[in-house]
Amino acid sequence: MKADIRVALVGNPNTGKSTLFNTLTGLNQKIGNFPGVTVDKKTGYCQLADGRTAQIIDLPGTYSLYPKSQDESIVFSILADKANPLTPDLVVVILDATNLKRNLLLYTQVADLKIPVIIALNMMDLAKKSGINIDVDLFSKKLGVPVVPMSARKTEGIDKLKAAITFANKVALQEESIEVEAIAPQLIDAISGEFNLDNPYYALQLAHQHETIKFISAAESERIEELEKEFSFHSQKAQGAETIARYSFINELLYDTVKTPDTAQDETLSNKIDKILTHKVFGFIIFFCVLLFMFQSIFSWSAYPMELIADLFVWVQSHLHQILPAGPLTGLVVDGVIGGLSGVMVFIPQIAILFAFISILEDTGYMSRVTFMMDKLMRKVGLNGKSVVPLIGGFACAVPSIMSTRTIENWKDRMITIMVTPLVTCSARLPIYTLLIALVVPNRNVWWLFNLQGLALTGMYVFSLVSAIVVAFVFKLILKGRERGYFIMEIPVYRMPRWKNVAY
Amino acid sequence: MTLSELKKGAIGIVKEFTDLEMSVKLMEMGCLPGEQITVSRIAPLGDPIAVNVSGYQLSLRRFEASTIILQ
Repeated sequence: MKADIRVALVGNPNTGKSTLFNTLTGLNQKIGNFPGVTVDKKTGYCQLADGRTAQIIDLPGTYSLYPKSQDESIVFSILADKANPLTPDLVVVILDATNLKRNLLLYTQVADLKIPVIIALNMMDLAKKSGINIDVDLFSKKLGVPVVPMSARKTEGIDKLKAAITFANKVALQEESIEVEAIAPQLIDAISGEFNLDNPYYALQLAHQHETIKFISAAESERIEELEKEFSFHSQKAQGAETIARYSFINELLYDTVKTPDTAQDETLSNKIDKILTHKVFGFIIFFCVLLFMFQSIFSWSAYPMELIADLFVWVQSHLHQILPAGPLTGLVVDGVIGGLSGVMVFIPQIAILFAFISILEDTGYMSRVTFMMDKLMRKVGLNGKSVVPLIGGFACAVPSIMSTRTIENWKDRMITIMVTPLVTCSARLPIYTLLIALVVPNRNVWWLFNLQGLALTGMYVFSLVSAIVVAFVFKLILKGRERGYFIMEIPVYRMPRWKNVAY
Repeated sequence: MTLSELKKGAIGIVKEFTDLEMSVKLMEMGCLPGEQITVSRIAPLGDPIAVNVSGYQLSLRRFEASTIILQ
């Protein structure tokens, strides 16, 4: 499909970006990878009121244009690389109306790149509920951009957003947020001059990120390095100064446009739930029960559809054997290709149920509580609280679990998690275990209660976990961490899962 | 006094940071000098901790909290 206008969705994590993307594009979407990196690239199409088609690109959630993890580094590359076929004509910045202050940091950065911007002020219903009063017109006037108040979950304001996209300006009209040149005047001048740039913030971003971005050549990167030395540019100090300047702009803006009631945070429902879910004793018991329930349902719920799929393949195979003449080619197609296919397809129900569970746990915000609870324990063996998610996912399938490790910022922690995730017994190993155990282990009861074969199977699972822990510990000693690990992470408010997203 | 010494439920105001690299990340997340910060929860094993700052909840390890000096 050919698109008339390319629109990128940019925003913090947990702002409802994916919900908005799904509502805008419906089923008309495609998931792939960004060129050169295994970061999910979701694109879709949306019909505008005047008959044009907009291509919508969902960029990974990030708190700032300075990347902390692999997925986040995509955002600047897509926004800034003029030669990239995905470079957007328009950016929709999604802001969480209940937490405008932190959300606006990213907006001011994107706005300073001088790409045409629209603000989607999401979660207006929640903001209203908690008594936050936003003067949208004044807010829009002060920033110089269209602001669309909406609530993506309730699909309120979607039409207005579509209209705003339709009538969006082709040139960036937003007001300056901070004086970018003041951060490193000489360096910005020099880079702008040599690389023929008209945007000072773009030049500053190049100075910060020239070592990691792929769209400038090694020679250009070296030249920037030389210039940085010449003007004694210190990347972290400059970033700090920029952030402080941006927040003082934001505070001033919010002072005039937003009124927040002073309610005690402790009274919120989320906090009450957390008291139980991250409790010293109950927290772990509940987590264990959730896991138990998850695995129990994976095996019991999937039994019926798995049988159906297996029967279907057996039926197809037996029919084909009757129709086709016997011979090596028939053997290859029927017993090889179709037989092989059936061996794989049988596991689809199990994997689908596991993914549904994981997406519910992530969506509600429970996963980040688990991360919070487990971090200390996981760190002892060289892992990270965030390794819990891939390790649990590893029980279903190691491949997507390894892909999900890219949210772990620290290189060493990520490497160790990647190495040990395949050691966890995945669902495809289960039939092999069952078959071998049936052959080797006698089917009799020990200690009246336990079946010897059942014990052997449990033993294999325990063994896989122990081996993962031992290997992680060994790698912790072998691998040299290049960067320091840190665990600065948002704990989102509990929300109901979006059942539509689970189904996808 | 640093944030890591703050008791659960206590309120402090961020003054400065002892670690430059960490400070850049913390400030991006809205943890700026002059900002009010409350310890809302401590993980079951004593580390990490969760704090309320800039209107939302942030979790960080004790070591990271020890780089934040309070007024």
